[in-house]
Amino acid sequence: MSRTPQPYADPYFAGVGLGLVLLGAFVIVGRGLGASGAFASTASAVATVVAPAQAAKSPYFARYRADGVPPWRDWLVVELLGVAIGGGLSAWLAGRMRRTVERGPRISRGGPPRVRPGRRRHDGPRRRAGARLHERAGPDGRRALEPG
Amino acid sequence: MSAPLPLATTLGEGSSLAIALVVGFAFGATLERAGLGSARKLAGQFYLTDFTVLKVMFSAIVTAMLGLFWLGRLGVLDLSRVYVPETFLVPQLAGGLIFGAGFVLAGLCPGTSCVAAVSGRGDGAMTMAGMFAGVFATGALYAPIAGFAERTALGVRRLPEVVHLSYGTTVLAVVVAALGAFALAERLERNAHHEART
Repeated sequence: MSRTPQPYADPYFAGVGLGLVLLGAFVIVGRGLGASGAFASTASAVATVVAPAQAAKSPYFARYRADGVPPWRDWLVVELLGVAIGGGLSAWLAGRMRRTVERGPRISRGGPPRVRPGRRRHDGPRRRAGARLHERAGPDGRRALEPG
Repeated sequence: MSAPLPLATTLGEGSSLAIALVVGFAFGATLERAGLGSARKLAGQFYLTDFTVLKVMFSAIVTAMLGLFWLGRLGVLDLSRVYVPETFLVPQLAGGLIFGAGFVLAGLCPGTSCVAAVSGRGDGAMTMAGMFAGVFATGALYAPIAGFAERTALGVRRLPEVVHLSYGTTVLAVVVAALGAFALAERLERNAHHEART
């Protein structure tokens, strides 16, 4: 697991490989590759199990729900399962299995910048009071002595 | 007998699902090999610094297109029996915009989010969860947009009919477009790397 990850394959070579998989799918099953349909099929199947009455009313769920076929026997769902197995095995063999979260350069670790709660509570009002004092003091300092 | 094989009749359900598993396996493995399970790599495409997505996808399209064209021409494959999704112009344009926004935001698309998740990336798993939530919401709240989704239905449309060229000429044009895109991609990538170094 800790070994150096292998470099990625040449994009053109990988592309031709992916094209052959796509061609194979067209020739053998008569349709292309897709993953979004599997999400829709799985969600429709789950909706049918969880809330059958509401799911039956939605033409969207109905479209993705093959008659009486449970999700684990849906072609697209099994295809997506294959994607997970193939992708996982490939990453493992190449030493690219890593528990991580990929983020852009401007996203900090663990959300917004951290402020210690204790400091924030005591610091905020004091600083605000200070600012008010400063405003009231004015350039000649006289206004600070004037009552409310 | 010509392909595509009518699976439902020639093969049992088990064999059909076994093929789904094998096709998915090859799909996932090639995506991972190319580095498309990495959100940073995919996002690089939108910032024009990493053209892996374009190179992989366009080479895949050209490979499959040439294969389909020649198998059809040689009479091995009956192209009329290959499934082509119907076109709903305006709703699909809207869907494409939403998909693109999500793609650049997450740095992943449905297939690659799955590869990212299984190779240990938390952002991949959360993208998958988000897509499930989105599909649920769409299904549950479908009534108001059902009319919109059916608008501008053009039926099954193929590129040669749209551009009014013969099938062979269209195939050639796509190959030329791909080669042009590859040349441009290589040039932009070289410039991006040069800028990053200086």
